[in-house]
Amino acid sequence: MDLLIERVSRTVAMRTSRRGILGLIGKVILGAMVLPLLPVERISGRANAAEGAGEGDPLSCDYWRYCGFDGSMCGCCGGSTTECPPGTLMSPTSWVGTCKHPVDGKDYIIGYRDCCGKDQCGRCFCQNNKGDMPLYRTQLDNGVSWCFGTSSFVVNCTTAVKLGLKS
Amino acid sequence: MLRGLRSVLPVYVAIFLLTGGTLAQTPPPEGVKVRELGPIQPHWVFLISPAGLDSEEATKVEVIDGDSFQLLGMLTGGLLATSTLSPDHKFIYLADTFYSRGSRGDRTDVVTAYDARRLAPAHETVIPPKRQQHIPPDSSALAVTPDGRFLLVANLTPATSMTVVDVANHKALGEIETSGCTGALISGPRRFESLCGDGAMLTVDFDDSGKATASKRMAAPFFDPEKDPVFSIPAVLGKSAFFISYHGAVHPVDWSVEPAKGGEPWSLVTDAERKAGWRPGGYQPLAGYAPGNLFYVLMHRGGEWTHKQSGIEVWVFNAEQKRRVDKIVLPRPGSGVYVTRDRDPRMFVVSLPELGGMPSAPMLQSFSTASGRYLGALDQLPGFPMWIFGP
Repeated sequence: MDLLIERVSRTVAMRTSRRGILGLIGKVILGAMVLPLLPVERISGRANAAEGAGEGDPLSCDYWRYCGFDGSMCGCCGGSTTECPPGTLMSPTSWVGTCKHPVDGKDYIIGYRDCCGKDQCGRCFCQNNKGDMPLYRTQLDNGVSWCFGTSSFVVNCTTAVKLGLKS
Repeated sequence: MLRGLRSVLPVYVAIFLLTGGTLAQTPPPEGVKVRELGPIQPHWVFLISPAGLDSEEATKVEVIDGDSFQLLGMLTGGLLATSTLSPDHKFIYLADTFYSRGSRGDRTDVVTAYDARRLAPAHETVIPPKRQQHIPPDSSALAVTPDGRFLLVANLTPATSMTVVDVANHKALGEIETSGCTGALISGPRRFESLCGDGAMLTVDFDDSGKATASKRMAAPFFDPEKDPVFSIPAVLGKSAFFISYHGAVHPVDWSVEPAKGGEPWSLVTDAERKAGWRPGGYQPLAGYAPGNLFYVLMHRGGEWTHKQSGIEVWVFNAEQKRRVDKIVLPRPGSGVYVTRDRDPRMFVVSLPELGGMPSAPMLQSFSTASGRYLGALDQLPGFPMWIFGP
Protein backbone atom coordinates (compact mmCIF):
# COMPACT_ATOMS: atom_id res chain seq x y z
CA MET A 1 0.00 0.00 0.00
CA ASP A 2 2.82 2.37 1.01
CA LEU A 3 4.57 1.58 -2.20
CA LEU A 4 1.45 2.14 -4.28
CA ILE A 5 0.76 5.56 -2.73
CA GLU A 6 4.40 6.50 -3.10
CA ARG A 7 4.41 5.57 -6.80
CA VAL A 8 1.17 7.39 -7.53
CA SER A 9 2.30 10.56 -5.78
CA ARG A 10 5.70 10.40 -7.46
CA THR A 11 4.02 10.13 -10.84
CA VAL A 12 1.71 13.02 -10.07
CA ALA A 13 4.58 15.09 -8.73
CA MET A 14 6.67 14.45 -11.83
CA ARG A 15 3.95 15.26 -14.32
CA THR A 16 2.45 18.32 -12.68
CA SER A 17 3.53 21.45 -10.91
CA ARG A 18 1.97 22.86 -7.75
CA ARG A 19 0.92 25.94 -9.65
CA GLY A 20 -0.68 23.72 -12.29
CA ILE A 21 -2.77 21.98 -9.67
CA LEU A 22 -3.81 25.28 -8.15
CA GLY A 23 -4.76 26.48 -11.61
CA LEU A 24 -6.83 23.36 -12.18
CA ILE A 25 -8.60 23.74 -8.84
CA GLY A 26 -9.17 27.40 -9.69
CA LYS A 27 -10.72 26.45 -13.04
CA VAL A 28 -12.99 23.89 -11.41
CA ILE A 29 -14.13 26.41 -8.78
CA LEU A 30 -14.61 29.14 -11.36
CA GLY A 31 -16.52 26.74 -13.57
CA ALA A 32 -18.70 25.69 -10.67
CA MET A 33 -19.39 29.34 -9.91
CA VAL A 34 -20.04 30.51 -13.44
CA LEU A 35 -22.01 27.57 -14.85
CA PRO A 36 -24.99 27.55 -12.54
CA LEU A 37 -25.17 31.33 -12.30
CA LEU A 38 -25.68 32.19 -15.92
CA PRO A 39 -29.03 30.59 -16.74
CA VAL A 40 -30.29 30.06 -13.19
CA GLU A 41 -30.12 33.66 -12.10
CA ARG A 42 -32.35 34.81 -14.94
CA ILE A 43 -34.87 32.03 -14.40
CA SER A 44 -35.13 32.53 -10.65
CA GLY A 45 -35.42 36.27 -11.22
CA ARG A 46 -38.44 35.71 -13.48
CA ALA A 47 -40.01 33.22 -11.09
CA ASN A 48 -39.70 35.57 -8.15
CA ALA A 49 -41.01 38.55 -10.10
CA ALA A 50 -44.07 36.56 -11.10
CA GLU A 51 -44.71 35.55 -7.47
CA GLY A 52 -45.12 39.03 -6.06
CA ALA A 53 -47.09 40.75 -8.79
CA GLY A 54 -46.75 44.49 -8.43
CA GLU A 55 -44.40 44.15 -5.47
CA GLY A 56 -41.24 44.35 -7.54
CA ASP A 57 -38.27 42.01 -7.82
CA PRO A 58 -37.18 40.31 -4.56
CA LEU A 59 -33.70 39.91 -6.05
CA SER A 60 -33.29 43.65 -6.45
CA CYS A 61 -31.95 45.82 -3.64
CA ASP A 62 -34.79 48.30 -4.13
CA TYR A 63 -37.43 45.62 -3.42
CA TRP A 64 -39.83 47.21 -0.92
CA ARG A 65 -39.10 44.82 1.98
CA TYR A 66 -35.40 45.65 1.90
CA CYS A 67 -35.76 49.26 3.11
CA GLY A 68 -33.72 48.45 6.24
CA PHE A 69 -31.75 45.53 4.79
CA ASP A 70 -28.05 44.83 5.29
CA GLY A 71 -26.40 41.68 3.94
CA SER A 72 -26.63 39.14 1.15
CA MET A 73 -30.14 38.44 -0.09
CA CYS A 74 -30.98 34.80 0.63
CA GLY A 75 -32.78 34.58 -2.72
CA CYS A 76 -29.35 34.71 -4.37
CA CYS A 77 -27.85 32.15 -1.98
CA GLY A 78 -30.12 29.11 -2.19
CA GLY A 79 -33.01 30.46 -0.12
CA SER A 80 -35.61 33.15 -0.75
CA THR A 81 -37.03 36.27 0.87
CA THR A 82 -38.59 34.10 3.58
CA GLU A 83 -36.48 30.91 3.42
CA CYS A 84 -32.94 30.12 4.51
CA PRO A 85 -30.58 28.16 2.23
CA PRO A 86 -30.23 24.42 2.91
CA GLY A 87 -28.19 23.52 5.97
CA THR A 88 -28.22 26.99 7.52
CA LEU A 89 -29.88 27.89 10.82
CA MET A 90 -32.72 30.40 10.69
CA SER A 91 -32.48 32.75 13.62
CA PRO A 92 -35.64 33.08 15.70
CA THR A 93 -34.62 36.71 16.34
CA SER A 94 -34.15 39.65 14.00
CA TRP A 95 -33.69 43.36 13.67
CA VAL A 96 -36.76 45.08 12.34
CA GLY A 97 -37.55 47.75 9.81
CA THR A 98 -40.72 49.57 8.76
CA CYS A 99 -41.25 49.52 4.99
CA LYS A 100 -44.04 50.86 2.79
CA HIS A 101 -45.82 48.33 0.58
CA PRO A 102 -45.79 49.61 -3.01
CA VAL A 103 -49.32 48.39 -3.82
CA ASP A 104 -51.49 48.90 -0.73
CA GLY A 105 -49.38 51.84 0.52
CA LYS A 106 -49.39 50.52 4.09
CA ASP A 107 -46.41 50.38 6.44
CA TYR A 108 -45.32 46.86 7.38
CA ILE A 109 -42.94 45.72 10.12
CA ILE A 110 -40.28 43.58 8.44
CA GLY A 111 -38.14 41.14 10.39
CA TYR A 112 -34.67 40.69 8.87
CA ARG A 113 -33.90 37.19 10.02
CA ASP A 114 -30.34 36.05 9.45
CA CYS A 115 -29.53 32.56 8.20
CA CYS A 116 -26.59 31.43 10.32
CA GLY A 117 -24.02 28.67 10.61
CA LYS A 118 -22.33 29.01 7.21
CA ASP A 119 -19.92 31.70 6.08
CA GLN A 120 -21.03 34.76 4.09
CA CYS A 121 -22.72 33.87 0.82
CA GLY A 122 -21.46 37.17 -0.60
CA ARG A 123 -23.87 37.37 -3.54
CA CYS A 124 -26.39 40.17 -4.06
CA PHE A 125 -25.09 42.29 -1.23
CA CYS A 126 -27.62 44.96 -0.38
CA GLN A 127 -27.56 47.69 2.20
CA ASN A 128 -30.39 50.14 2.78
CA ASN A 129 -30.49 51.75 6.16
CA LYS A 130 -33.99 53.12 6.70
CA GLY A 131 -34.59 53.04 10.43
CA ASP A 132 -31.13 51.66 11.20
CA MET A 133 -29.87 52.82 14.60
CA PRO A 134 -26.68 52.32 16.57
CA LEU A 135 -26.38 49.54 19.14
CA TYR A 136 -28.11 51.46 21.93
CA ARG A 137 -31.28 50.68 19.99
CA THR A 138 -30.22 47.06 19.48
CA GLN A 139 -33.48 45.90 17.90
CA LEU A 140 -33.03 48.44 15.09
CA ASP A 141 -29.30 47.87 14.47
CA ASN A 142 -28.61 46.10 11.16
CA GLY A 143 -24.89 45.78 12.01
CA VAL A 144 -25.58 43.14 14.67
CA SER A 145 -25.20 39.48 13.71
CA TRP A 146 -28.75 38.45 14.49
CA CYS A 147 -28.06 34.79 15.27
CA PHE A 148 -29.28 34.77 18.87
CA GLY A 149 -30.97 31.46 19.59
CA THR A 150 -28.93 29.50 17.05
CA SER A 151 -25.68 27.61 17.62
CA SER A 152 -23.48 29.80 15.38
CA PHE A 153 -23.03 33.53 14.85
CA VAL A 154 -21.58 33.17 11.37
CA VAL A 155 -24.05 34.79 8.97
CA ASN A 156 -24.70 33.31 5.53
CA CYS A 157 -27.49 35.57 4.23
CA THR A 158 -30.54 37.52 5.33
CA THR A 159 -34.27 37.14 4.78
CA ALA A 160 -37.02 39.77 4.99
CA VAL A 161 -40.18 38.45 6.61
CA LYS A 162 -43.45 40.39 6.95
CA LEU A 163 -44.23 40.48 10.66
CA GLY A 164 -47.37 42.57 10.47
CA LEU A 165 -48.88 45.98 9.82
CA LYS A 166 -47.47 48.91 11.68
CA SER A 167 -50.08 50.00 14.17
CA MET B 1 9.22 -0.33 4.48
CA LEU B 2 12.75 -1.53 3.79
CA ARG B 3 11.82 -2.16 0.18
CA GLY B 4 10.52 1.39 -0.06
CA LEU B 5 13.74 2.78 1.36
CA ARG B 6 15.79 0.71 -1.04
CA SER B 7 13.86 2.09 -4.01
CA VAL B 8 14.24 5.78 -3.05
CA LEU B 9 17.88 5.62 -1.88
CA PRO B 10 19.37 5.84 -5.39
CA VAL B 11 17.23 8.96 -6.02
CA TYR B 12 18.66 10.73 -2.96
CA VAL B 13 22.17 9.74 -3.92
CA ALA B 14 21.62 11.08 -7.44
CA ILE B 15 20.20 14.39 -6.11
CA PHE B 16 23.13 14.73 -3.71
CA LEU B 17 25.68 14.14 -6.43
CA LEU B 18 23.98 16.40 -8.95
CA THR B 19 23.34 19.37 -6.65
CA GLY B 20 26.55 18.97 -4.66
CA GLY B 21 28.62 19.92 -7.66
CA THR B 22 26.45 22.95 -8.45
CA LEU B 23 26.20 24.28 -4.88
CA ALA B 24 29.98 24.49 -4.60
CA GLN B 25 30.01 27.20 -7.28
CA THR B 26 27.09 29.33 -6.02
CA PRO B 27 27.46 32.23 -3.54
CA PRO B 28 26.87 31.49 0.17
CA PRO B 29 23.19 30.99 1.02
CA GLU B 30 21.17 34.13 1.82
CA GLY B 31 20.28 34.76 5.44
CA VAL B 32 16.58 34.24 5.97
CA LYS B 33 14.46 35.26 8.91
CA VAL B 34 11.04 36.37 10.08
CA ARG B 35 11.01 40.13 10.50
CA GLU B 36 10.34 41.88 13.77
CA LEU B 37 9.03 45.39 14.15
CA GLY B 38 10.51 48.30 16.05
CA PRO B 39 8.46 50.25 18.58
CA ILE B 40 5.08 51.54 17.43
CA GLN B 41 5.48 54.98 15.86
CA PRO B 42 3.07 57.94 16.14
CA HIS B 43 1.91 57.63 12.52
CA TRP B 44 1.31 53.90 12.55
CA VAL B 45 -2.30 52.88 12.14
CA PHE B 46 -4.14 49.66 12.73
CA LEU B 47 -7.11 48.68 10.58
CA ILE B 48 -9.66 46.13 11.71
CA SER B 49 -11.05 44.21 8.79
CA PRO B 50 -13.77 42.12 10.39
CA ALA B 51 -15.13 40.64 7.23
CA GLY B 52 -14.93 40.43 3.52
CA LEU B 53 -18.13 40.35 1.54
CA ASP B 54 -17.65 36.60 1.26
CA SER B 55 -16.16 35.77 4.66
CA GLU B 56 -16.35 36.95 8.23
CA GLU B 57 -14.71 34.06 10.06
CA ALA B 58 -11.16 35.41 10.15
CA THR B 59 -10.81 39.07 11.10
CA LYS B 60 -7.65 40.81 9.94
CA VAL B 61 -5.84 43.54 11.84
CA GLU B 62 -3.51 45.32 9.44
CA VAL B 63 -0.49 47.22 10.77
CA ILE B 64 0.45 50.16 8.54
CA ASP B 65 3.24 52.72 8.60
CA GLY B 66 1.35 55.85 7.62
CA ASP B 67 4.54 57.74 6.72
CA SER B 68 6.04 55.25 4.27
CA PHE B 69 2.67 53.76 3.21
CA GLN B 70 3.82 50.24 3.90
CA LEU B 71 1.86 47.32 5.22
CA LEU B 72 4.15 46.20 8.06
CA GLY B 73 2.28 43.02 8.89
CA MET B 74 -1.02 41.70 10.11
CA LEU B 75 -2.82 39.62 12.69
CA THR B 76 -5.42 36.99 11.97
CA GLY B 77 -8.23 36.67 14.47
CA GLY B 78 -11.57 34.94 14.58
CA LEU B 79 -15.18 35.87 13.91
CA LEU B 80 -15.91 39.63 13.92
CA ALA B 81 -13.02 40.46 16.24
CA THR B 82 -12.37 43.79 17.92
CA SER B 83 -8.94 45.14 18.71
CA THR B 84 -7.09 47.77 20.71
CA LEU B 85 -3.57 48.64 21.91
CA SER B 86 -2.19 48.38 25.43
CA PRO B 87 -1.45 51.87 26.81
CA ASP B 88 2.31 51.09 26.83
CA HIS B 89 2.03 50.01 23.16
CA LYS B 90 3.69 46.67 23.87
CA PHE B 91 0.65 44.56 23.08
CA ILE B 92 -2.16 44.46 20.56
CA TYR B 93 -5.32 42.93 22.00
CA LEU B 94 -7.90 41.03 20.02
CA ALA B 95 -11.24 39.90 21.40
CA ASP B 96 -12.28 36.93 19.32
CA THR B 97 -14.83 34.23 18.79
CA PHE B 98 -13.87 30.82 17.42
CA TYR B 99 -15.92 27.76 16.64
CA SER B 100 -14.22 24.36 16.94
CA ARG B 101 -15.33 23.36 13.42
CA GLY B 102 -14.93 26.69 11.66
CA SER B 103 -18.45 28.00 11.32
CA ARG B 104 -19.95 25.44 13.73
CA GLY B 105 -19.07 23.44 16.81
CA ASP B 106 -18.13 24.55 20.32
CA ARG B 107 -17.76 28.29 20.76
CA THR B 108 -14.72 29.76 22.49
CA ASP B 109 -14.38 33.50 23.14
CA VAL B 110 -10.92 34.67 23.98
CA VAL B 111 -8.88 37.83 24.40
CA THR B 112 -5.43 37.35 22.90
CA ALA B 113 -2.50 39.65 23.62
CA TYR B 114 -0.14 39.87 20.65
CA ASP B 115 3.43 40.99 21.13
CA ALA B 116 3.51 44.26 19.16
CA ARG B 117 7.03 43.66 17.82
CA ARG B 118 6.60 40.07 16.73
CA LEU B 119 2.87 40.35 15.89
CA ALA B 120 2.63 36.90 17.46
CA PRO B 121 0.39 35.72 20.32
CA ALA B 122 1.96 36.21 23.77
CA HIS B 123 -0.85 35.14 26.09
CA GLU B 124 -4.61 34.70 26.15
CA THR B 125 -7.62 34.80 28.44
CA VAL B 126 -10.72 32.75 27.79
CA ILE B 127 -13.85 34.82 28.44
CA PRO B 128 -17.57 33.92 28.64
CA PRO B 129 -18.79 32.98 25.12
CA LYS B 130 -21.15 35.89 24.62
CA ARG B 131 -19.16 38.74 23.18
CA GLN B 132 -20.96 41.15 20.93
CA GLN B 133 -20.88 40.33 17.19
CA HIS B 134 -21.22 43.62 15.39
CA ILE B 135 -20.12 45.56 12.33
CA PRO B 136 -18.33 47.95 12.58
CA PRO B 137 -16.08 46.66 15.40
CA ASP B 138 -15.92 50.03 17.14
CA SER B 139 -13.69 51.07 20.04
CA SER B 140 -16.44 50.77 22.67
CA ALA B 141 -16.57 46.97 22.23
CA LEU B 142 -13.04 46.42 23.58
CA ALA B 143 -11.69 49.09 25.90
CA VAL B 144 -8.62 49.19 28.12
CA THR B 145 -8.24 51.13 31.39
CA PRO B 146 -5.65 53.96 31.28
CA ASP B 147 -3.22 51.95 33.47
CA GLY B 148 -3.55 48.91 31.20
CA ARG B 149 -4.65 46.59 34.02
CA PHE B 150 -8.16 45.78 32.84
CA LEU B 151 -9.89 45.17 29.55
CA LEU B 152 -13.63 45.59 29.08
CA VAL B 153 -15.24 43.35 26.48
CA ALA B 154 -18.79 44.09 25.30
CA ASN B 155 -21.34 41.27 25.48
CA LEU B 156 -24.61 41.03 23.61
CA THR B 157 -27.02 38.15 24.16
CA PRO B 158 -28.98 40.47 23.21
CA ALA B 159 -28.90 41.65 26.85
CA THR B 160 -25.91 43.94 27.33
CA SER B 161 -22.99 43.69 29.77
CA MET B 162 -19.21 44.10 29.92
CA THR B 163 -16.77 41.31 30.84
CA VAL B 164 -13.85 42.62 32.92
CA VAL B 165 -10.51 40.96 32.14
CA ASP B 166 -7.51 41.12 34.47
CA VAL B 167 -4.74 41.52 31.91
CA ALA B 168 -1.71 40.61 34.05
CA ASN B 169 -3.30 37.50 35.54
CA HIS B 170 -5.01 36.41 32.31
CA LYS B 171 -8.31 36.04 34.07
CA ALA B 172 -11.92 36.99 33.35
CA LEU B 173 -12.94 38.59 36.65
CA GLY B 174 -16.64 39.06 36.19
CA GLU B 175 -19.38 40.82 34.39
CA ILE B 176 -20.89 44.27 34.79
CA GLU B 177 -24.52 44.61 33.74
CA THR B 178 -25.32 47.67 31.65
CA SER B 179 -28.98 46.88 30.99
CA GLY B 180 -30.40 48.97 28.19
CA CYS B 181 -27.02 50.62 27.57
CA THR B 182 -24.18 49.52 25.28
CA GLY B 183 -20.42 49.83 24.98
CA ALA B 184 -17.65 51.09 27.24
CA LEU B 185 -16.23 54.55 26.67
CA ILE B 186 -13.42 54.95 29.22
CA SER B 187 -13.77 58.17 31.22
CA GLY B 188 -11.55 57.53 34.25
CA PRO B 189 -9.07 55.11 35.84
CA ARG B 190 -11.90 52.69 36.79
CA ARG B 191 -14.84 54.32 35.09
CA PHE B 192 -16.67 53.89 31.81
CA GLU B 193 -19.70 55.42 30.09
CA SER B 194 -22.39 53.50 28.22
CA LEU B 195 -24.95 54.90 25.80
CA CYS B 196 -28.55 53.99 26.58
CA GLY B 197 -31.56 53.40 24.36
CA ASP B 198 -33.48 56.38 25.69
CA GLY B 199 -30.69 58.85 24.84
CA ALA B 200 -29.20 58.98 28.34
CA MET B 201 -25.75 57.92 29.47
CA LEU B 202 -24.80 55.46 32.18
CA THR B 203 -21.67 56.15 34.24
CA VAL B 204 -20.19 53.01 35.83
CA ASP B 205 -17.42 52.83 38.44
CA PHE B 206 -15.79 49.49 39.13
CA ASP B 207 -13.08 48.15 41.42
CA ASP B 208 -10.04 45.93 40.99
CA SER B 209 -12.11 42.82 41.54
CA GLY B 210 -14.07 43.67 38.37
CA LYS B 211 -17.28 44.52 40.19
CA ALA B 212 -19.37 47.66 39.70
CA THR B 213 -19.22 49.96 42.75
CA ALA B 214 -21.53 52.62 41.34
CA SER B 215 -23.83 52.82 38.34
CA LYS B 216 -25.50 56.16 37.74
CA ARG B 217 -27.75 57.22 34.91
CA MET B 218 -28.17 60.77 33.63
CA ALA B 219 -31.26 62.43 35.03
CA ALA B 220 -32.51 63.21 31.51
CA PRO B 221 -31.52 62.07 28.00
CA PHE B 222 -28.99 64.31 26.21
CA PHE B 223 -30.41 63.54 22.76
CA ASP B 224 -33.64 62.19 21.29
CA PRO B 225 -33.06 58.83 19.52
CA GLU B 226 -36.51 59.02 17.94
CA LYS B 227 -35.87 62.36 16.23
CA ASP B 228 -32.16 62.46 15.59
CA PRO B 229 -29.96 59.58 16.82
CA VAL B 230 -26.26 60.12 17.54
CA PHE B 231 -23.42 57.98 16.18
CA SER B 232 -22.29 55.89 19.13
CA ILE B 233 -18.58 56.85 19.29
CA PRO B 234 -17.82 60.46 20.31
CA ALA B 235 -14.72 62.58 19.82
CA VAL B 236 -13.19 62.77 23.28
CA LEU B 237 -11.38 66.05 23.96
CA GLY B 238 -10.12 66.12 27.53
CA LYS B 239 -13.03 65.52 29.87
CA SER B 240 -15.63 66.38 27.24
CA ALA B 241 -17.15 64.00 24.73
CA PHE B 242 -18.68 65.34 21.52
CA PHE B 243 -21.33 63.18 19.89
CA ILE B 244 -22.65 63.98 16.41
CA SER B 245 -26.09 63.10 15.15
CA TYR B 246 -27.43 61.72 11.87
CA HIS B 247 -28.73 65.22 10.96
CA GLY B 248 -25.55 67.03 11.96
CA ALA B 249 -26.16 68.21 15.53
CA VAL B 250 -23.29 68.27 18.04
CA HIS B 251 -24.11 67.04 21.55
CA PRO B 252 -21.38 67.81 24.09
CA VAL B 253 -21.28 65.65 27.22
CA ASP B 254 -19.33 66.53 30.35
CA TRP B 255 -17.49 63.48 31.68
CA SER B 256 -15.89 65.25 34.64
CA VAL B 257 -19.03 64.76 36.70
CA GLU B 258 -20.90 61.65 37.79
CA PRO B 259 -23.25 60.87 36.22
CA ALA B 260 -22.16 62.49 32.94
CA LYS B 261 -24.03 65.65 32.00
CA GLY B 262 -25.30 66.75 28.59
CA GLY B 263 -24.47 70.25 27.32
CA GLU B 264 -26.12 72.67 24.91
CA PRO B 265 -26.30 71.16 21.38
CA TRP B 266 -25.09 73.09 18.35
CA SER B 267 -25.01 72.41 14.61
CA LEU B 268 -22.32 71.21 12.21
CA VAL B 269 -24.21 72.66 9.26
CA THR B 270 -25.63 76.05 8.38
CA ASP B 271 -29.22 76.26 7.15
CA ALA B 272 -27.95 76.53 3.57
CA GLU B 273 -25.70 73.47 3.99
CA ARG B 274 -28.56 71.52 5.54
CA LYS B 275 -30.77 72.45 2.62
CA ALA B 276 -28.04 71.25 0.24
CA GLY B 277 -28.16 67.87 2.00
CA TRP B 278 -24.83 67.96 3.84
CA ARG B 279 -24.70 65.50 6.73
CA PRO B 280 -22.22 63.19 8.47
CA GLY B 281 -21.88 59.54 7.46
CA GLY B 282 -19.76 56.39 7.30
CA TYR B 283 -18.75 53.58 9.64
CA GLN B 284 -16.31 55.77 11.59
CA PRO B 285 -17.42 59.30 10.69
CA LEU B 286 -15.80 61.19 13.58
CA ALA B 287 -12.27 61.65 14.91
CA GLY B 288 -11.01 63.89 17.69
CA TYR B 289 -7.70 65.69 18.08
CA ALA B 290 -7.48 66.67 21.74
CA PRO B 291 -4.32 68.86 21.63
CA GLY B 292 -6.04 71.20 19.14
CA ASN B 293 -9.53 70.86 20.61
CA LEU B 294 -10.61 69.83 17.12
CA PHE B 295 -12.80 67.17 15.66
CA TYR B 296 -13.01 65.86 12.10
CA VAL B 297 -16.23 64.74 10.44
CA LEU B 298 -16.82 62.78 7.21
CA MET B 299 -19.53 64.68 5.30
CA HIS B 300 -21.62 63.75 2.28
CA ARG B 301 -24.74 65.04 0.57
CA GLY B 302 -27.74 62.78 0.94
CA GLY B 303 -31.20 62.30 2.33
CA GLU B 304 -32.41 60.82 5.57
CA TRP B 305 -31.00 57.39 6.52
CA THR B 306 -27.80 57.88 4.51
CA HIS B 307 -25.82 57.79 7.76
CA LYS B 308 -23.55 54.97 6.53
CA GLN B 309 -22.76 56.64 3.21
CA SER B 310 -19.09 57.49 2.65
CA GLY B 311 -17.99 61.11 3.00
CA ILE B 312 -16.63 63.15 0.12
CA GLU B 313 -15.23 65.89 2.37
CA VAL B 314 -13.87 66.08 5.90
CA TRP B 315 -15.04 69.10 7.87
CA VAL B 316 -12.89 70.23 10.78
CA PHE B 317 -14.51 71.89 13.80
CA ASN B 318 -13.12 73.75 16.78
CA ALA B 319 -15.08 72.37 19.72
CA GLU B 320 -14.61 75.42 21.90
CA GLN B 321 -15.46 78.01 19.26
CA LYS B 322 -18.28 75.82 17.89
CA ARG B 323 -17.35 76.61 14.31
CA ARG B 324 -15.85 74.98 11.25
CA VAL B 325 -12.19 75.86 10.79
CA ASP B 326 -11.26 73.76 7.75
CA LYS B 327 -12.63 71.64 4.94
CA ILE B 328 -10.65 68.87 3.20
CA VAL B 329 -11.90 67.50 -0.11
CA LEU B 330 -11.14 63.79 -0.40
CA PRO B 331 -9.66 62.39 -3.64
CA ARG B 332 -11.72 59.26 -2.95
CA PRO B 333 -14.82 58.99 -0.70
CA GLY B 334 -14.07 57.62 2.75
CA SER B 335 -16.00 55.49 5.25
CA GLY B 336 -13.71 56.04 8.23
CA VAL B 337 -11.58 58.90 9.55
CA TYR B 338 -8.84 58.83 12.19
CA VAL B 339 -6.40 61.50 13.39
CA THR B 340 -3.11 60.63 15.10
CA ARG B 341 -2.46 62.05 18.56
CA ASP B 342 1.05 63.47 18.13
CA ARG B 343 2.13 67.11 17.64
CA ASP B 344 2.48 66.71 13.86
CA PRO B 345 -0.75 64.84 13.27
CA ARG B 346 -1.89 63.00 10.17
CA MET B 347 -5.46 62.41 9.15
CA PHE B 348 -6.13 58.95 7.73
CA VAL B 349 -9.22 58.10 5.73
CA VAL B 350 -10.13 54.57 4.73
CA SER B 351 -12.06 53.99 1.52
CA LEU B 352 -14.11 50.88 0.88
CA PRO B 353 -15.22 49.49 -2.47
CA GLU B 354 -18.54 50.94 -3.55
CA LEU B 355 -21.27 48.38 -3.11
CA GLY B 356 -22.67 47.57 -6.52
CA GLY B 357 -19.96 49.69 -8.12
CA MET B 358 -16.84 48.75 -10.02
CA PRO B 359 -14.73 46.17 -8.18
CA SER B 360 -11.92 47.94 -6.36
CA ALA B 361 -9.73 47.32 -3.34
CA PRO B 362 -9.90 49.30 -0.09
CA MET B 363 -7.45 52.18 0.26
CA LEU B 364 -5.96 54.26 3.08
CA GLN B 365 -5.45 57.95 2.27
CA SER B 366 -3.21 60.24 4.30
CA PHE B 367 -3.39 64.02 4.81
CA SER B 368 -1.38 66.59 6.68
CA THR B 369 -3.82 68.14 9.13
CA ALA B 370 -1.91 71.43 9.14
CA SER B 371 -2.66 72.16 5.50
CA GLY B 372 -5.19 69.49 4.62
CA ARG B 373 -2.67 68.49 1.94
CA TYR B 374 -3.06 65.01 0.44
CA LEU B 375 0.13 63.06 1.16
CA GLY B 376 -0.56 59.77 -0.57
CA ALA B 377 -2.26 56.45 -0.10
CA LEU B 378 -1.74 52.77 0.47
CA ASP B 379 -3.89 50.80 -1.91
CA GLN B 380 -4.81 47.12 -2.27
CA LEU B 381 -5.66 46.85 1.43
CA PRO B 382 -6.63 43.32 2.39
CA GLY B 383 -10.20 42.52 3.37
CA PHE B 384 -12.82 45.15 4.19
CA PRO B 385 -11.29 47.51 6.79
CA MET B 386 -14.01 49.11 8.89
CA TRP B 387 -12.26 50.58 11.91
CA ILE B 388 -9.02 52.54 12.33
CA PHE B 389 -7.10 52.94 15.58
CA GLY B 390 -3.60 53.88 16.60
CA PRO B 391 -1.21 54.71 19.45
